[in-house]
Amino acid sequence: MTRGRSGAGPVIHSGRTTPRLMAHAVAALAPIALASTWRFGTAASVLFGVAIATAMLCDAVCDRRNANDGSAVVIGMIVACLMPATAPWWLAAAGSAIAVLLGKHALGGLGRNLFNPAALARVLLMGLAPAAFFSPLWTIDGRTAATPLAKELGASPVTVVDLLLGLDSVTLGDAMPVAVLVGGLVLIALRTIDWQVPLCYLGAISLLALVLPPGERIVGHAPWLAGNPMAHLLNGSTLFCAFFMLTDPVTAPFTRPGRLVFCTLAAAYTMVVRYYTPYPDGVAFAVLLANASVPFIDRKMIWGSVGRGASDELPAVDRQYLAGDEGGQG
Amino acid sequence: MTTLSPHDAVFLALAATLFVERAARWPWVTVVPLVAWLVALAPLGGFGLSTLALVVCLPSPRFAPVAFLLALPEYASVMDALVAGTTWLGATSLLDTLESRLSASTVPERLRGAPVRLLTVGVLYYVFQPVFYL
Repeated sequence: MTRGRSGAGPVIHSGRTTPRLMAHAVAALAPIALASTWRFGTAASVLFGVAIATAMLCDAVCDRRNANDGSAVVIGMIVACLMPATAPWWLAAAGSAIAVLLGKHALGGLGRNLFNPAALARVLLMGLAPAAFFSPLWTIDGRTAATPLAKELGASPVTVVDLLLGLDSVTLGDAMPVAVLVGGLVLIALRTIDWQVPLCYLGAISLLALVLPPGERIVGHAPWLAGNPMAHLLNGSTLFCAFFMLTDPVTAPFTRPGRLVFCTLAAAYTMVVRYYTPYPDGVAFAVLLANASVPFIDRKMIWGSVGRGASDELPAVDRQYLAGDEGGQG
Repeated sequence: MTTLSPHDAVFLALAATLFVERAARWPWVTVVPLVAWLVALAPLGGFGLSTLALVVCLPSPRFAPVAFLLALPEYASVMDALVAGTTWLGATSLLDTLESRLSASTVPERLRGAPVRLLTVGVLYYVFQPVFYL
């Protein structure tokens, strides 16, 4: 939104411009980038560098006018955070290209994209290049698979301190959950994200970890994960998803009750995937499923409260505008 | 030769759904995987195939190509068949609610229409992949 004239009437600018919000996101992601570089060394720096450079390049090719708004840097950083530390550099490049070209530009553009670009890149790459993601300890129909939850296979229980320090981390984003918490708190303090979103998602994950009966894989391979909310909160990409992916205003519902339904849906799918399928973590799948459900949730929440009289279709609005000019990742 | 997996069949059917005009009874196609599983179990001999053909056309003749795709895979269990049917119905309903976003002017003109819908089907293919391991 720009200062000055508007067709709709006088406007008071909140000062929350897209570049400013992106700067907040970069500041919040910085502790994670530092923690992953400390834990994994130059491999992590290379992945961050390649992911950011590719995202900026793809963004400049698609939309030169808005290429300097910082959104490409945020997308690149989040894509890198979802990469395993052992990933080759080209995987980070491919992830950023998918996120920007497909997730951001093909499916709507800045402030209007349908899916979280980084989650989309992660899920597509897991499907297209599973060997690069998955640990040899975990197999899905002969293919091998991913993330700290898988790494715990057959291992003895780890302590909360180990989990907080990310001693069993595999992806850059969960190199140190403490760093993710710090970054998330920075975003809350700057009022960049709605604190209720991570709270609801993490609360639902904890509750489901306690209530759901564990599947055969959990019982057979990592029984200490069953009924252990702390392990689910601090393991995998749960915290990262709660603070950096579900809070993207562009791919979340308009209303607060809608956002709570959205988080609960994401938590339910995360836990179903973890407990009952061979996939060790379901965070990226859950984010995309929740994103795809947003028009349905919005329709129920907005038109449900207004009444079903006027129209069954949501108007084609600029989500960025309605979200208070909060530019999302894409 | 590899056979068509329920997962592939559901999303091929979903892609086909985009190009078929809806009839009133289209949601009945959801039961086709279940019937296909039952037909495969029953000792119908040569009647099995004709029964299946009838089942494919009966719920909604216009939707026969979609139903045919859902009847093609070999369902290993009743759970497989139920998951396939409900995933197809759920993903179709989800695509319907996404319609206004997919046809919005914000989607690049070259991609608007069938290409962006097929891209979304592709994304949903991967999103629902874990469901087929339940």
